[in-house]
Amino acid sequence: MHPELSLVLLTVLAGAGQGIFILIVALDALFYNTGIPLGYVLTGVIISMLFQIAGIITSTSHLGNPQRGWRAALMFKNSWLSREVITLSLSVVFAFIYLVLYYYGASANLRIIAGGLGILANIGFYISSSMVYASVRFIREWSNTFTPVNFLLFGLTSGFAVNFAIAHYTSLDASIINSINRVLLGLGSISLLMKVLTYRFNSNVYVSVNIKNAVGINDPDIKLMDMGTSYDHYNTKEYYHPMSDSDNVNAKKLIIAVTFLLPLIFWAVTLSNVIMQLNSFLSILAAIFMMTGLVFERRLFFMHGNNLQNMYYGKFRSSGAKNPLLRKAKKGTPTPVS
Amino acid sequence: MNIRMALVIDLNKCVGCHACATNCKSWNTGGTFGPLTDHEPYGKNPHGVWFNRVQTYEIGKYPNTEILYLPKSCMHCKDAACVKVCPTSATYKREEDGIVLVNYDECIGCKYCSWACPYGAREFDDYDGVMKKCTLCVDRIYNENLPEEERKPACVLACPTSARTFGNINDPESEAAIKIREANGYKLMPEVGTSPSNHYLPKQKVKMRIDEDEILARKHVIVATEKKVSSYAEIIAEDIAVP
Repeated sequence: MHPELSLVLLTVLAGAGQGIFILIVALDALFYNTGIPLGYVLTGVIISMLFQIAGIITSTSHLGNPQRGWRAALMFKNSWLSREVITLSLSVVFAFIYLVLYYYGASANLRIIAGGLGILANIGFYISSSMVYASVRFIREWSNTFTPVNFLLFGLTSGFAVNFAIAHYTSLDASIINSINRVLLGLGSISLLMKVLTYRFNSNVYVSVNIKNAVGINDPDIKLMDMGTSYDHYNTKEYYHPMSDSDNVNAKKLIIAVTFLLPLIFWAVTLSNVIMQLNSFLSILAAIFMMTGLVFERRLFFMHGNNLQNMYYGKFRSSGAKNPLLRKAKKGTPTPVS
Repeated sequence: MNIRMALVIDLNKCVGCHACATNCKSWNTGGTFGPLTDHEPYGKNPHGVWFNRVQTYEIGKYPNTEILYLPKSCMHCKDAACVKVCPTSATYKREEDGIVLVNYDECIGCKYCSWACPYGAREFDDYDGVMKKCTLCVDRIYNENLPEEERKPACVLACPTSARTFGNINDPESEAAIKIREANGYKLMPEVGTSPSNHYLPKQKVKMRIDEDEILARKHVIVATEKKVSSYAEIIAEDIAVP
């Protein structure tokens, strides 16, 4: 699929923004009695809101009629896209309410209720924004369990990473910073593992549809002679983004290194306190690497999406994977002729 | 019984002339659902919105190859994936005849419906900022200002080989349903589960049927030519000599 930059930025920025908010509310609830510094909460929630609002603004730029964008909230019963729009808007609203309550010193119960509702909206956003892609069952690279799991994991990890950097500059208690650091190492490691598994799954994805049933002729040799037009059009551009095999492999390696490995190394260094003066700098560097890497990760996620309609234009990338059921057959077991 | 309007396309008759596509474009660009935007129509890289596109495939290995022309437009699926994902309900399926349409006034142009369609039947019009697709010429088929024989989709009227038939496939007496039944009409990618309404009549393998007499007659001519006989009586006389 064509990697639409506005959608890449929406999912990355809003995901991270909500991760920042979730951690702040969680810390607020955990340190209910002692409290956490106002500067940290204000900076964090404002950055979280800015990320989410930036996501909303960029996402409208891919619409043909942005002035009617509000209509996207109408079909929440059917469409995951509608649910995404609603939960994202609610997330910003609850973050704002939480910010106001915190700033004006409202009772802790009240602000934690607002924060809790915000977290529910955030989780709703993670689920619905990932299901927008996971529910397109004609794109196997998207329509799998990895998509919602990864959206949730990467959103939380990137949000916590930014939060970790904010914590270094807003005099949060050192023990809390240390705890965030440990959580980040755990989340980052799981994210790295999930990304590796996802790439492995996608490079072996099995699609039962082939050109024979796409055109309805049972012949092993069917090839496109003429697509009917002399120049590319919507069908040949929207569903397909050219990428060589070597570029694909290099992009995957680079994404794994920049988005996950390097930040993990930086967090390990900050946790070990080898060079204490560098901790703040490394936390910012890790957040920048992770956010930048995620933009490219999401871009590659779009590019990997292989819509079935590409069959008709000879652009369907065949991974060459065999049906896993047939692959498991024992030697000598008769298998259906493909 | 619900009415289910659909196209039935005979792949044996289609000659890949693109008349269906051009007449579709011609009618719809000036019709209710137009314009179908064109960029550089007379330039180097012409591209734009079409409701119907024809692809050409080669089947088999050289020298035993055949050509398949596959005209493809919206399948007006019974279980349309595009309708389910639309966040604004701009895309809807009409209950009265099963035609899938887009309400341009409600479409926000998010392209999500096109991602969900496995047939590539929807196209984004970057001029109007909305998704456009085959309407089965809904503005023709019920148009009482047109003579009754012209109340058919533009593609059906244009087809020079009558490869396209239009009708209610749920009515067993309709021409479309009879063709599907008699020629084993099939759907594209049935396993994706959208239950498309449009059907295709399977392309028969191209065969050359030569009668045995024709072979014998040909041999007569060869023998006659070789022996330089010219009169009919001489050819008849030579018949006995044909191996």
